[in-house]
Amino acid sequence: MSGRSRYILRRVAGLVPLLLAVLFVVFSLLQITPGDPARAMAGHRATLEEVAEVRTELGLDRPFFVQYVSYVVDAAQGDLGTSVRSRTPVTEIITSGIPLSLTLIMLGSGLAMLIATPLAWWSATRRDRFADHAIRAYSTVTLAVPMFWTGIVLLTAVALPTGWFPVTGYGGTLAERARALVLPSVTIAIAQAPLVLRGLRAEFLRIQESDYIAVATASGVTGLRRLLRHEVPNALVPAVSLMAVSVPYMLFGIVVVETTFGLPGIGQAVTMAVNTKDFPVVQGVTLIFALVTVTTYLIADIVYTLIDPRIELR
Amino acid sequence: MTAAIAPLQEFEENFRRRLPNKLIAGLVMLACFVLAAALASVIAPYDPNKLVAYPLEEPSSTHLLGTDPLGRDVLSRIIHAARVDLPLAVTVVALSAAVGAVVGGIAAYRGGFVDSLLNGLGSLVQAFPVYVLLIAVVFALGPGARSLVIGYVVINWVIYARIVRGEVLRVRGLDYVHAARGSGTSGVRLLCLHIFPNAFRQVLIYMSSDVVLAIGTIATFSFFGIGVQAPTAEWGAMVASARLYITTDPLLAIFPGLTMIALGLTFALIGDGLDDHLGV
Repeated sequence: MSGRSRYILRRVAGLVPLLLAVLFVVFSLLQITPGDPARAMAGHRATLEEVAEVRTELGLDRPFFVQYVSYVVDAAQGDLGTSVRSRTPVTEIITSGIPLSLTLIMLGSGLAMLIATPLAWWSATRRDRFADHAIRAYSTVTLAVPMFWTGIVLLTAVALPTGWFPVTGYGGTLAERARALVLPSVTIAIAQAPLVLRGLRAEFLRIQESDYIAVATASGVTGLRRLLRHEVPNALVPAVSLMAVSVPYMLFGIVVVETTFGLPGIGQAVTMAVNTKDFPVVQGVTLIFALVTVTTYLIADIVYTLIDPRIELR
Repeated sequence: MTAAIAPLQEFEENFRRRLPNKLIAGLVMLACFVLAAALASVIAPYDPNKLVAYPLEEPSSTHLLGTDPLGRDVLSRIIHAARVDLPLAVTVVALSAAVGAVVGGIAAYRGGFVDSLLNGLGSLVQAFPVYVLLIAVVFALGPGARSLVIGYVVINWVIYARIVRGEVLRVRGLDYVHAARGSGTSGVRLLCLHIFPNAFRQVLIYMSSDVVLAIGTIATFSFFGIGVQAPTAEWGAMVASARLYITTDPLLAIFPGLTMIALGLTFALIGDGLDDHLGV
């Protein structure tokens, strides 16, 4: 077995205890609720029988450890419970929301790269000049702007006056859906771009001061050709890992954006579940988001060893 | 006498002269916010929770930023909200830093069980998108500012513990610490008087950017309805209640947001300034 496959195997095996701990945290959410979770879920007007019914249904009358083990066993089989409100299986709620949320993430990060890469390059090229300061100020300011507010400003400043984009909701036809996704993706990109920009700027600075760029310049490779053939490709690898690191932030982003724009993805499912005291849905989505995060880090690490064989496998 | 004081004065002058403009600007802005919050009941023209005019009035000389959907004065609510958002953001960050410093300090100094526990918890928290985990925790504890503070600190201290651990390990190897230990300084005294002050730089710089994130998070959670609860004036909640009226009164959602961004920028400036001033 090669060093790399052994490394990958070891990393995957290392996930098992981590996932058990993650499951424990998600499971414990029900335990830290003050008062009776069955009562909270059944609602204030529920009769004692209804509360008892919810309790049995969720297995809350069993010992803590038994509950945890059965939660893990069920989760391993893809059963995350049933929504106490809509009576749909949690996995169904999640899978029906995934296409929209995934599209949002991809559009948002793609757009963020399109904003961040040229700005980072320009900032690095004009180091310590006006453009550099302006771009760095932009990235500081946007960090202080909460995403929900960006969304609302875009709605008031763009959607309402032009009428090009819906103020809320998703729509049925492809064209309607495409239009509904524009402003949410822009909102995510605006928040995401400064996070990537800082790292990319440092990367471009390093590249521009490197020997191979000096050689390229000396042999007459300049301008656009040097930029596209030598500078950008070398900055892309770190850019990808910067995006991977920002995935957790991105997942919070889709929760905020889907709620602000009324889009029926996983993110809106979680805020709706929060407002209706739907424990299984909140637990299920939290668990899936943790899975996505852990897997992204793992894939990023593995891809990294493939791209750059010099990386030490530990 | 004067000869002995002179170098000290010179040092002080140097120290003051070299304070970066960003830091000064940030501190001045922060002072304004703190003053506004402290004197809210004096500065604010109206009671933030009283219905003082017709709902949704346009900005005018009597109501500088207009009135909200219930007829409360928007300016007064924005000023009073500073009493909620500012202390909350500073509290969650300070508490996280305090818990993190203690655990991180012990982990670095003692190693062993505490150190492995810290490592394990660190990877566990990192396995979650932190703010999504925070939603789940606040939801489980029940909506409200108290749950938000508890959840935030429970999740956030780990980062500080890691920073402090790294810094203590770095400082511990420096010559002056060996010298202090050699001259018989005890463990706790060494840690508190000699190691912590030097490890604190990184923490301070991180804290100021953490406050920026905390302000945004508290507002976002209140916007979702699980943070600060009505009728308390809070910027995120104000935007949430203005959301239904963006077609007719768009400014209602804009003003609280701008205030929140100004406060965020204040701490961003302080952080950048500190970074320049104390930068390693």
